[in-house]
Amino acid sequence: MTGTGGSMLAVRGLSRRFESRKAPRLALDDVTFDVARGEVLGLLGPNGAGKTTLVRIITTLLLPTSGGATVAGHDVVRDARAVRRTVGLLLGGERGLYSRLTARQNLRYWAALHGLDTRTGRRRVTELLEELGLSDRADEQVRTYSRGMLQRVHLARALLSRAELLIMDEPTNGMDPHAAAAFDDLVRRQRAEGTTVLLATHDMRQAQSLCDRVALIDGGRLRAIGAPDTLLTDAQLLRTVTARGFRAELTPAVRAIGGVLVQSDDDSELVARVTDGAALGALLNALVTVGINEISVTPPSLTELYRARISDRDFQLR
Amino acid sequence: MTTYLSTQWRLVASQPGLFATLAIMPLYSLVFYTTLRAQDRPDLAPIVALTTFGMSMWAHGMFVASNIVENDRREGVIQQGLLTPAAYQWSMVIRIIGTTALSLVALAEVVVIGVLLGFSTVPESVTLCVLVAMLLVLGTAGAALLVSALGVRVQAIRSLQNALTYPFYLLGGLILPADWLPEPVHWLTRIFFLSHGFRLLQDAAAGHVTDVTSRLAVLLLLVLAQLLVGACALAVVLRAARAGRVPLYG
Amino acid sequence: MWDNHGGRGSRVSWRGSATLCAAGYGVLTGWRDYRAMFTWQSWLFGWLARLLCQVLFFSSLGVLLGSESARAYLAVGHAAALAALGAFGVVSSTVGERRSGTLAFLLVSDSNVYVALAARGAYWLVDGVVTAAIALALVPLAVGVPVSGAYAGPILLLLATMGLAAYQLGLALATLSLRWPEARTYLSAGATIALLLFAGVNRPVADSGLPAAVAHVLPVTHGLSALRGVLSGDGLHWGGLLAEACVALGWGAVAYLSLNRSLRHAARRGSLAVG
Ligand SMILES: Nc1ncnc2c1ncn2[C@@H]1O[C@H](COP(=O)(O)OP(=O)(O)O)[C@@H](O)[C@H]1O
Ligand SMILES: [Mg+2]
Repeated sequence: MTGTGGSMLAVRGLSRRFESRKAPRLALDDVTFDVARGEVLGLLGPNGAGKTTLVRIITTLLLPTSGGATVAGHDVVRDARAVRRTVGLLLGGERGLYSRLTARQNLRYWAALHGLDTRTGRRRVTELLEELGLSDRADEQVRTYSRGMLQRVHLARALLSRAELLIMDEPTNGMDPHAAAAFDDLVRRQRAEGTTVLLATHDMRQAQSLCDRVALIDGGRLRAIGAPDTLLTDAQLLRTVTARGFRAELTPAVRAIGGVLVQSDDDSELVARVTDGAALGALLNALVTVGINEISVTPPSLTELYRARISDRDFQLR
Repeated sequence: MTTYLSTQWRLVASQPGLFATLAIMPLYSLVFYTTLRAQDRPDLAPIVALTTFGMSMWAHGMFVASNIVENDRREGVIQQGLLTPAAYQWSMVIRIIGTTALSLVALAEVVVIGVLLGFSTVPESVTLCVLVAMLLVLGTAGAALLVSALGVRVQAIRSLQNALTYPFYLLGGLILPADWLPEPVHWLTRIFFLSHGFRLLQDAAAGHVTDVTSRLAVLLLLVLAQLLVGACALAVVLRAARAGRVPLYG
Repeated sequence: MWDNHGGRGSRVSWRGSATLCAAGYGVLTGWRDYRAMFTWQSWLFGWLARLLCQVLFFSSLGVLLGSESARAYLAVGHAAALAALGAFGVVSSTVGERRSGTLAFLLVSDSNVYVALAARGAYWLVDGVVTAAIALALVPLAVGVPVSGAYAGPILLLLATMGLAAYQLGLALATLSLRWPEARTYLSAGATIALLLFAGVNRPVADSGLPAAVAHVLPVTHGLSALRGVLSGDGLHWGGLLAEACVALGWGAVAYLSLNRSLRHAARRGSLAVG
C-alpha cells in the first residue's frame, strides 16, 4: 500500500472485528477513504459508530482485522514506529495527564517521551504554552485546571512533536461554548500551518465550520463523505423560510407558488421549505408584497443531513 | 428484606477484588508451618494456625472497609447515599459485617492446610473455638466500620488500610501474648477485644480454658462496644458529610 | 513562529538524552504521587511504623520458638526482605497508568515503555531500601540481637541490589497487572509469599529439588545469604552479590521484553483496552 501521492492518510477496506463470547461485533466494516495533506476531515457518527476504533487503528494502538491504512506512506501495521512519529493524538475527556504535575512538567515529560532532547523539549514546551495561552498558569498542577484549559494542555501535547497528522477524538466533548470556540480557533491555526487533521466529533456546528470535508460513519460503515456544501446539495435538503406576522388567509396563495412546501402556518407564523432559488425568490416576493418583512431563510445544515442519513438507533430499539 | 440483602450481596460480589485478601492470607500459614518444620517444633502448629486465621480475618476486614469506601467514593455512591443517610449507613453495616464474616472460612482453611502438612492443628474444643471466632469476626467488623468512617473522613484510605495491619497483629497478640509488648501499650491491649478474644481462642484450641463464662462475657461486651463505636463513628461522619463538612471527592 | 519546514521531522538523532530526560521526569512524576500518598507524619507513624511492626511480628515467632538463633534469623530476614517487598509496590501502582488514561499516550509516543514505567515507580525501590535499612538497624535491637553499624556499606549495597532485583520482578508482574487490574493484589501478595517461603527469609533455603530451583531465580535469596554472611563477620561474599545482580538482570530482561513487546501486542490485538 504505497504511492498515495498527495494523500496524508489513506484508509483501504479497513475492518475491525471484536470477538466476544456472546456476539462478535464488527466495529468497522470495509472503510475506505483518503485525507489529503493539509485537509481537515470531520468524522461524524453516533456513539458506537466506530470512530474511536478508527482513530485507534490509525494511531497504531489497535490492529485491523482486515484491510489497512497508511499515514504519510507508512503502513500502520508494518511501519508502526514511523507512524507513531508522524501522528499527534488528542483524546477527549479529562484523563491522560498526570494530575499532580504542572502543565509544564507534564509537557516536558511527554516531549521527552516523544524523543525530543532536553533543550529542544524545553524550548518547544515554552513556545506551545505561550501559543495556547497557558503561560500564566503553566506552573500550577493540572488537577486545578478547568476543562477548557485541560483540553489545551492535551492539544499542546499532541502538537509537541510537530506531528504532520493531528488526530482528535471528540476533543470538545463537555466543554462550555466559549472554551469550544477558543478550541476551534486553535485548530484553525493548525490548519493554516498546514497540519492535516482528522477530527471525530458530535458537534455539527464545529464540523461545519472547521472541516474541509466530513465523513458520516454509522454501524462501522462509511455512509457518505464530501465537502459539507456538496453533501448538502447532493442530499437535496431544502432551505427553510420562516415568516412572522403571517395571516392564515394568505396560505392558498403561498401554496400556489411552485416549489414551495408549506410545513406549518398556524397562528402568525409560516414555516415553508423551498426547493430552489426561483421558488425562494417567488415566495419572498409574495410575502414582501403583502407587507410581511420579518423573514428568515435558513440553509440546510449538517445536523439535518446527519438526521436524514443516520438512523436513530436508540429510538428504533424502543 | 431479601431483595435488600441480595442487592447488598450483589454490590459485594460485583467486586471480585474484595476477596483477594481472604484468598491470599491463609497461604501465610505455609510460611509459618515450614518455619516450624525447619525448627523442628510441630507442637507450635495450633498456635500459628490461629495466628494465620487472625491475620486473615483482620486484614480482610480492613481491606473490605477501605475498598468499599474507595469504590463508593469513585462511583459517586457516597454522595447518592447521603440522600438517605440512615439507609446508606445500614447498607455499609450490612455489607461490611457480611463480607467480614466470610473470613470464618479462613479458620477452616488454615486448620486443613496444617492437617495436610501433617500437623495436628484440629482444635481441642471445636465448638468453643468456633463461637469465639464468630465473636472475633463481629468485633473485626466493628473495627472495619470504624475504619470505613475514617475512610469517608480522610482521603488517604489506602495508606490508612496499609498501616492498620501488623501493628494490630502485635496488639492483638496473634503470636505472642500482648503482654510481651512494652509496658506503655498494656492498657490498650486490655480494652482491645482482639487481645482478649485471641487468648481465649488459643486456650480453647489447646483445650485448657478456665472461667469460660466470664471470659466469654467480657469478650461479648468488648465486641458489642467495638460494633457500637464503629456504627456511631460512621453515623457521625455521614452526618458531617451531609452538612458539607467532609469533601466527598478529591 | 513555527518553522514547519525545518521543524517537521527534524528530530534529534541521539535519543539517549531524550530517554534520560523522560526517565528524570518519570521519577519526578512518581515522586509527586508518592508525596501525595503520605505526609511526613503518616509516613513515619503509619507506613514506617507498620513495616517495623511487621518485622517485629515475624521476629516474635522466634521468641515463641524460644531460640536465640531463630530470633536473629527471622529479624534479619524480614527486615532485609522489606527492600524487596517495598519494590513490589510497583505492581499495584502501575495500574494507575491505565486508570489515569496515560497508557494510551505512552504507547502512541513510541517511547520505551519499560524505561517510562521503571522511572515512574522508582520511588518504590527507594522506599523499600530505605525502610529495610531502618528496620535492619532497629528491629534486631528490639529483639536483642543488635546489628553492628560497621557493616553499613556492604549492607546497603546488598539491600539495594536485592531491591533492584525485586523491582525488576515487580515490573514484569506489572505487565500482568496492567492487563488484568483486578489481579494486582493477588500478584503482589503471591510474590511476597513466594519470597517468604523460598528465599531464605524465614528458614534456610532448600538445598535440592524444586524449592531450591525456585529460590535461585527469586530475588533476595542470594543477596540475603550474603547479608547474613556480612553480619556474622565473614565480610562481603562477592559471589552472592554478583548472583543477586544476575537475578536482577534476568528479571530486568523479562520486564523489558514483556513491557515493550507483549504489552504493546496485547493492546494492539485489542485484549487490553487503553485510552
Ligand atoms: N475493546 C473492545 N472490545 C469489544 N468491543 C469493542 C471494543 N472497542 C470498541 N468496541 C465496540 O466497537 C463499536 C465501535 O466503538 P467505538 O469505536 O468506540 O465507537 P465511537 O467512538 O464511534 O462511539 C462499539 O459497538 C463498541 O462496543
Ligand atoms: Mg468514541
